[in-house]
Amino acid sequence: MNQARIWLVVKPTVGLPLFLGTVLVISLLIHGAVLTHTTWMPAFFQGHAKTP
Amino acid sequence: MADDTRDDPNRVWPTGLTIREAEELHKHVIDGARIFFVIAVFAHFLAYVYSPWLH
Repeated sequence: MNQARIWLVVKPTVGLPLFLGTVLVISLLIHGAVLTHTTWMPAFFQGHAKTP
Repeated sequence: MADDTRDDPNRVWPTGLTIREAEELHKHVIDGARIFFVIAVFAHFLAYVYSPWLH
């Protein structure tokens, strides 16, 4: 909680969307990386009948 | 009204917030990050259990 004074320098109307937007972009990048570099995530989306 | 806030010694520029306002805002940012963390840990646990990841 020692970073609170960032809001004395960065306007919250700019800093908050920037911060949350960056978290969103990073999340999309990581999900994309896992989707394109594993076999099991695409397989999950492909789906198939449950083996008895 | 505008002159009052501009001369207020508690307000810090460039954003013009007071330290108390900045700390109140940041408390919510930190709380949000904690909730995000808990959800992320749970999601990673589910991924570990139900996907071939790491085993």
